[in-house]
Parts: sequence; C-alpha cells; structure tokens
Amino acid sequence: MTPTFAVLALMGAGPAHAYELWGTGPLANASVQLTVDTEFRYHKTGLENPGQRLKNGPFELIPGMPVHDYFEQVGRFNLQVSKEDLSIGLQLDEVALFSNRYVLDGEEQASVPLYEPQVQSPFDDSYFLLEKMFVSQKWDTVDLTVGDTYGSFGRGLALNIVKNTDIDVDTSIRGAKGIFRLGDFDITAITGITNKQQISQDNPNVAISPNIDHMVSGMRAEWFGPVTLGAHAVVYKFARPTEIPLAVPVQRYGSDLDTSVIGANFEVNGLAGLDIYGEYAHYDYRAEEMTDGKAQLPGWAAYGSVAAYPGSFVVLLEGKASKDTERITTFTTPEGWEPASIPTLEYERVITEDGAAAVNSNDVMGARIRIDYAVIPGSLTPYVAATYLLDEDTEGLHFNDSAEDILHPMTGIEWQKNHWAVQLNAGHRVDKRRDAKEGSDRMTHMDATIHFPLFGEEALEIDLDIKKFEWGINEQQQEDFAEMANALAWHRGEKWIFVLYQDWTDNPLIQSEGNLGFIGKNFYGALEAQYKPSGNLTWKAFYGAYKAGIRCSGGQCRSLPGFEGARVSLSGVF
Amino acid sequence: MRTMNQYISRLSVFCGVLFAGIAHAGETAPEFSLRDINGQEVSLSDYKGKVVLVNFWATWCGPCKLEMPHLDKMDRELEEKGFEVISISTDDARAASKVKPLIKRGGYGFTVLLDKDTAVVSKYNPAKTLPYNVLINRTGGIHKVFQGYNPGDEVELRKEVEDLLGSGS
Repeated sequence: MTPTFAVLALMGAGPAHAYELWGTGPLANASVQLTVDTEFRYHKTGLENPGQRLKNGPFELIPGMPVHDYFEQVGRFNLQVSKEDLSIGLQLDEVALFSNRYVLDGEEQASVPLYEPQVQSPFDDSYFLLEKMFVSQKWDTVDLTVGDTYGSFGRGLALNIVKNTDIDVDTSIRGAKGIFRLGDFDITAITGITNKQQISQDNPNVAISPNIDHMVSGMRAEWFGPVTLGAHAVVYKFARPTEIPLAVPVQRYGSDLDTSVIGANFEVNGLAGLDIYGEYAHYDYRAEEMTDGKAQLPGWAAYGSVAAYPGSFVVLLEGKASKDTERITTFTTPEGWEPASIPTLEYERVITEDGAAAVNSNDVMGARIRIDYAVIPGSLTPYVAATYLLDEDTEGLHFNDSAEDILHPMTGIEWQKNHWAVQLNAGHRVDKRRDAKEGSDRMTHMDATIHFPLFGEEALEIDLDIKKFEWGINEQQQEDFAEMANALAWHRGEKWIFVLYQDWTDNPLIQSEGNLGFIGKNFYGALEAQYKPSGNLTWKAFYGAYKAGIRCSGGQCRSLPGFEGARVSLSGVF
Repeated sequence: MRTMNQYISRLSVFCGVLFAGIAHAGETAPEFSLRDINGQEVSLSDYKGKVVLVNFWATWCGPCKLEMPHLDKMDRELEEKGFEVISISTDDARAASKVKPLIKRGGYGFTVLLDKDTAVVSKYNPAKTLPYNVLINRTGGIHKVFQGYNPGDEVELRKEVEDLLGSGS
C-alpha cells in the first residue's frame, strides 16, 4: 500500500513559499505560477482472462483484487515564470500504472501495455516527459516565442493547431513564432515540428505512441484598416509512421512538401450595421497518400459570415463550400487531431460519427442561420436556428453512398434571474440521401441545464442530454437507438457539490458496458463529490461508470472510451 | 523491472523540488496583446493602475454565459472606482464569428478580446478550465484566481474586487 499513500500524500502537498527565488540573476524577482492537475484512478475492467497475482507480491495493492483491475495515476504540472515581458513555461506530464502485472504460466504479464515499444521509458509501468516548454518575450513591436507554440490563421481553413483540452487534444508546434506589429500591419511567422500531447489526462492511457514529427511553416500578413485584410500561406511536410523512430525531424525542411495552402480573408465591422467576414483557401496536395496516386491534386474552401443586430434581434448567417479539403487531415486523423479545417456550422453537442464526417466533409456546401431575440438582454434570450448542408462525399467514414441533403432546424432559450437559470436546446436533423433507396437518417435531440436555488446557499442543477437516432440504409449503422447522459447536482454552499450521473443507451454498437445491469441493459451510474476549499483549488472524487461516445469541442471531435471504476483528482493553481 | 516504489520515490523528489521553488509574492500577470472583436489592439499594460479582472471563456461554455451578466454589472458599477473586465474568448478560429453576436445579444459593455490560437490562455490557464478569472491588482500582480462558475459565485468575486479596490493596492 505504500505507493498509494505516497501518491495521495503528494497530491495533498501544498506549495512551499519562497521569495526572491532567483537571487540576483536575470530572473531576480520573477514570479512563478504552478498549475497542478493530478488524478488517481481505479479501473474496473471486468475481464476474466486467466492468470493470477502473486499473493502479497509486488503487483498486489489490495488483497483479492481481480487480476486485470488496475490503478492509474496521472499528473500534469505547469510551471510559468514571468518577469515583465518575459515568460517561460514548462509542462511535465507523468503517468504510472499500479497492480498492472500478473503471472500466467510462470511468465510475468501486463494487463495494460502502457506504451508502445518505440517509446523510451526507464520504467515498465510509468512514463513521464517534458511535454511542453517555451520562452516568450514581448517587445514594443515584436512578440517572439521559441519552443512550443500554437498557430491559427483566419478561420482555420489553412492552419488551426491550437490547444483543445476540453477533448484532451493538445498538439503544439515546437519551433518559433514571431508576431511583428507595424502600425496597422501584423505579420505572423511560425515554423516548427508538431508535438502531440502523449499522456492523456482525462482518458485511460493505453499503448502510448511516440510523437510523429510533422513539419508546419506558415506566414500571415494582416492590415487593420476600415476593412481588415489578410493573406497567408502554409506548407506541410508530414512524417510517415513507418519512419519512426529513425526519422530526423529537421529533414522535413529539406524534402518535397506534401501540401501547401494559400488563403486570403477580409473582415468589415459595422458596414450598414453588418459585420461581414469572408475567406478563401486553395490547397495543393502533392503526397500520393493525399492525391489518390496522382502527382498533384487541388482543393479549395470558402467560408463567410454576416452578423446583423436590428433592435433586440441578433442574426448570424454563416456559409461554406469546399472541395477536397479534408485530405489535409490524412496523416493526422489517426493521431486524433487536425491541422486545419473549415467551421462545421453544426451544433457541436449533436455531432455523431456520421455527423462529424458529414459536416467536416471533403465536399460540402451549405449555410446556417441563427436568430436570437434578447427579450431581456443578458437575462432572457430565445433563439431559432436552421442549417442546410449538401454533402457530396461518399467515401471513408461517410454513412451515405449517394449525395445527401442535411436539414437541421433548432430552437432554444437562455434564461437566468437571481440564481435561477435555464439553458435549453432542441432540434431535429434529417440527412436525406438523393438515392431514395438509401432512405434518410434522422436524429431528434434535446439538452438542458436547469439551476435553481433551494434554501440558504443550497441549489440544485439538472443536466439532461437526450438523443434518438433513426437510420436509413447504410453499412455502418442499421439499428435505431436512443441515448441519454444526465446529471443531478446538489450545490451545498460555495464549497461542496454532489453529483449523480446517469447514462443509458440501447446502441448495439456501443463500445462499453453499463454498471447498473439490475436496472436494465446499458445503464450507467456514477456519484461524484467536488470540494472547492478556495477559488484556486478543486478536489473531486468519482465512483461509477459512464458510456463511451463521441465528443466535440471547438470544431474538433474525438471518440472517448467509457470508464468504470473510481477517480480522485486535484486541480490547483498556486 | 524497476518497482513502483522506485518510481514513486523519484516522482516525489522531483515534485518536492518543484513545489519547494514556488515564489508566491503577488505574481506578475504575464503581458499580452490581442485584437478585440472590432480589430483594435489591446494590451494588458494599457490598464496599468487599474484593478483588472481577466475572464477566460468560450461560446460553447454554459457556465461562462451564466457568469457574463454578473461580470458586466460589476464592470459598469465599479468602473469609476478603477475596475475593468477584460473578457478573452478562447474559442478557436472556427468559432470566432460567433463571439461578437453572443456579446451583442447580452448587451455587454466590457472589452472582449479574441485568443484564437490559444496562446494567452495557455500562459494563464494551461489546463484551460472555463470559465477562469484572474484578478489583477493596480500594480499588475495577480491577486487571486477563480476556477469555474456556479450561480452565486459572483458574490465572493465581487467582494474580492471591492476589497482590492478599497485597499488601494
């Protein structure tokens, strides 16, 4: 039990305070901020494979524990050193598995392989690395960052490599980035090798793979006048998985490019009461993996938006069209991130496997309009929205074998007064195939958050998320199903929250199993207690299970595995 | 195979060194420059001498939207005392067109900046917990941070702001 107690003691350790840490050197009187996120998990696997732990042996943390259940401890430590216009950042990630070993036929085995053979670690069941590091200096007209940085041009059609921790995706560009501010002109230059986050903080770490070193370089010029004008170019050279681990990243600069993208945009605010944005990008693919074997393949994408504010109304119209744009994700999709893509126009909470493919399609065009009416600004705002998309791509993950028309009307309301709050969204989406034999896919959805005070400082929060799917004829999914993910939270004063989670689905293809079989098949339940002793510190303890599923944030989607077991986590800023 | 005990002891030593080196004396807020939703450049240093609340949020974040009316109220009511809210949208580029309409429908008057490439939020809030508020004193030091929002949290936040305005620091 010693390692468990050691980890828990470590998690509870508070910061020691030291002043003038850096003496009289260049960092004298610099300030330091440490962010700590750490979690200890018990994974209940339910596997009944043969094998046994050695009784009282090194692999047994709890006597009688099932052979393939195991513990996982993950941690992330972010250190930021700041002095005037200088910032230095380091991020250390670490993971360790406990009780992960057993004996079968006299041979020691691992229930879960933590990392792939190409990954270097001095320990069999633990791994740590300096995941991110950067030095950033700001002068009057120049911002310069060396190390891990992020890049996004325009609306992300050509380059959009950003941190997206909401879905546990954090790929940076390890190199250099400079922003030169010359009056009304901004010039941004960025170059480096991609550095994908390897240790997951939210999901089980299994078979961690080595980083794949893709080269990205780009430049953008922007003029901020009565109209904002921008132009940019980005080039990519992707690593091939077969090169690992011998490839030298710097070689990417000296070899033929796989893709180049050039683009331009304009933006005007307040023109006849309208905010208008437009962008175009042209893709030139050269890698045979992207061109279906041809020497070269072009692609293009366009995106535009118009916002108007007549009276108490807010109207946002977005439109897009593309041809062969998603080929730019050919090499990085298996890694779970995207270097660039067009705005989806879709409501993210209802994006499914099919939806993700359709709205981020190679060949798609359409528009979305949303009209809000601020009955009481900041307090009561109902809205209606409608999306129309024509998806002509029938390859890859697409469920459709013929072009399809997608129509998605929605409505909702946001209301809050005193400590009452309601956020409600509901809609119905139809993906109608032009080949009538294929039929249509239909989805009806509703999600809501309702918060209301009880007495004193007590409050209740109800979160609902319900979807029903009816499928047409396709190869991936034929059986209709429904699913829901709900929560009931009891806010007890400012410091305590107790949450009851409940998931359910009758999706026959779900890749997880419910823990509440006595209620019904595929019922999942969990309890969580959150303790927030101060604004900068949150403790959480979770026990139970939740289902697998797809989750989207910031235009990126990721399939997340289900979980059953227990978790204790600490998140703090010191 | 090296044992877990070895691993734990090494990790403990590393973290002990890390924790032991923390200076906590009113950390300086990292300087930044970003464009606002109308294209104007705004720097944190423009607000020197004021108490500033830097609020990180995103259009998809429900609690962030619930918190905004309270931040706007504070911004309006305490402006004369030297208080400003700088609201930083951490939406990535693809959602940037949604930011200004959301601000307009709420009628909010505070400054709204776009951190489309997540460069600033990565410095202040690497875990990207949202909403995330950083209260900065008149000398540019970080006074306190607040993670997340539940209805009612604005009471403590306002008290901290008023105390800071009253203290003169």
